[in-house]
Amino acid sequence: MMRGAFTAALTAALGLGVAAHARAGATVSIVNGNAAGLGFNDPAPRAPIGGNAGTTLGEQRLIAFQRAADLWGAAIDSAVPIRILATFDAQVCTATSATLGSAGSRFLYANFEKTGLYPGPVLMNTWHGGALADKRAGFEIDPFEADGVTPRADIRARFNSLLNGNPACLGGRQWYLGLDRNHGADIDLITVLLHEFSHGLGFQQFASVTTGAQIPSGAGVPLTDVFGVHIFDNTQQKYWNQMSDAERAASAKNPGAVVFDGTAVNAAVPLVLPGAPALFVTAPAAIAGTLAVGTASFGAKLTSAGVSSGVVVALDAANAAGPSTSDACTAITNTGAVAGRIALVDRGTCGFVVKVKNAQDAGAVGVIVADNVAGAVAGMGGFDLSITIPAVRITLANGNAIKAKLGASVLVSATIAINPAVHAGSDATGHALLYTPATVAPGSTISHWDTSAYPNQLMEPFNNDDLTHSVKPPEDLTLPLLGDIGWFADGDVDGLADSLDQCPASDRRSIVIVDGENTGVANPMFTNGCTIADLVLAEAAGAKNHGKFVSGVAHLLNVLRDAGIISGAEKGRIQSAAAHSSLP
Amino acid sequence: MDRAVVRIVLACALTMAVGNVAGAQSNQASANAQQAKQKKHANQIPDSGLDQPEPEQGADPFERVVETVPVTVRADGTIVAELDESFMEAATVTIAADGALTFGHYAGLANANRAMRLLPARVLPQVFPILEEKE
Repeated sequence: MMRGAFTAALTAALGLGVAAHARAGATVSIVNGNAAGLGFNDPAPRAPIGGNAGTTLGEQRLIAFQRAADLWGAAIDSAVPIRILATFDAQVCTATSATLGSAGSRFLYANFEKTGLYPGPVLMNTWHGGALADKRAGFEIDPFEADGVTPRADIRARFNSLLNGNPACLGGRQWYLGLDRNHGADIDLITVLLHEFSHGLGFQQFASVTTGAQIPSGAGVPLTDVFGVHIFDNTQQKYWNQMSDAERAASAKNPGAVVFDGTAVNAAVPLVLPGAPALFVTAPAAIAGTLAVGTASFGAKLTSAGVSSGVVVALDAANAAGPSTSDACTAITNTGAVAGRIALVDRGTCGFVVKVKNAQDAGAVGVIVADNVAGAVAGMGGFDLSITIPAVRITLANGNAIKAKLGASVLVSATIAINPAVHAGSDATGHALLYTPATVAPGSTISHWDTSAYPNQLMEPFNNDDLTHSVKPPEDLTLPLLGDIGWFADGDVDGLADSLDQCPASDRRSIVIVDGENTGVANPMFTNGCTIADLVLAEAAGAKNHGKFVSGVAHLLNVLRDAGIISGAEKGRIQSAAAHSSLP
Repeated sequence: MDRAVVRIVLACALTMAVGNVAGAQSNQASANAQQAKQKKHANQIPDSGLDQPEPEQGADPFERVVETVPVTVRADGTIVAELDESFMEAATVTIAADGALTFGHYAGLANANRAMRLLPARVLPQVFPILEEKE
């Protein structure tokens, strides 16, 4: 209680008085590894696009890379700069397939030293990615490259320079270098970078997924990694660091039964993965029930509250764009009936985005696309950021059942929402599922979320159009996972996790400065994460007036002096500054 | 603010702090020495180089080989593993018959490139716009 009271008061004080010591984040920088005229230095002129102000292809590539790096830098905390050695160079690209690029940690560390309040390794004899090891050590473990001069890069990233609009490469599809996610038919570079950089930061396990073998230490003893200690197999009831190689290999191909078990991820699952998309038909009773749906890669994500309304068949002209009056391939004609309702349209002839956009333009609050062939439900592809209403796809049979009632002038009511009773991306106990298909896919298996997750996650093995550039809840589980493997939040980057830090926004200046007055007294940090300056400011937060503040500081400084932390002369300088100040 | 609370908390903190302020300084000095020492160690870990083609990998298709990763144990106990390209997560994309994009991952660029080369060549039926289907 006392610690809590102290922390609360201190936090309040710091919030009022030390805005300069807000969340620190991390510096993630891109090291341009390309030679002159190539890759990031490609001089081909380009018009600015989607918020990317670069005027050459190389500039735009570098700006997009740095944007992805900055997004990560804003999400994680580290006192040690993170360097990504990056190049664009030619990789395989045919008319229908391409290698996009890769990234990963260049080095792994175990049993490294640490400084100050930094915690050091998560566990001994456990591999950590280089950037994570540096963060937890509190210093660059290996500051330089082999030349002894060049700062060492923690992560290597190589991307394909051939995706530049050449028809021979992906039919002309190219990297979308804008920063606004409006990639259309092209491939959003920032989304791919956020994914790949995440691997470099540690969203990756390092054992072989075919043999289960782990990277050995120098003494030949296999070591687990900080990701692997959180992988739990529901069938074997073991974590990966408890398994034999054979058991790990079996676990890697145990679909739907392998989860990531970490405090932060587990806490975030209910928010990020609230359930499975569904269509709840609420009336008439004859067809009421919960229908399975396919989701769309565009439009609003489904929510627990959902969208509820009556269902109306949206009508359009039967024409060359679409031969049916219910395919919604052209402008909706019964807008008066559709406005404010859930539009029911048929699959076929034109793209899903065309149908849903036409319904949205007619005022629909949601769209149900009924399949035009029998079969299981499936998703809907396409990309259009202007679509803001939710859309789902149902089977032909279910569509016909609804249409039959509507044809008989029976009111049909429905809700497009999340069904919390069905898990999508998590197991029955609420643990996030990892990707473990029955056939091992090296590169994908284990080091990604399962593809059943809804909404789609950045770290699924497949890049989906509805990703948002967010790496944290409520949209995404990536940041919680990184937290679980050791990327603890540390807003003042003093090495002490915010959850343990009694001064999580410390005044870490080297000298005690009281209300702008430099006392010249060193400002050490104590084991509780507080500095002398923090404690002085805490006195201000609790004082009713200036006199009480000065008196409180005097008592505080006596304690510090008696403990041998400051001298009598230093006490006098701080005391004087407190007296001169206008605090509280 | 209850200053009595501050006093008590401070006293508790100082119990550890006196030693730890000095300890932290000592640790920093140790860290500095450590960094100086690391400069020498750095030569043991060669850079993978810039603008170089991806290294050739073992015969095991599409998988990394963990047993041959170079590992160094330093005098201070730090263990360092140098990862080759096969430990990078490589992303790929293919265009399906209906024009939709399918993404995938491989263990490293070399494996990704090899996999993309192995895909059967086919005529691209229609690229723009993306068609409606996505399973």
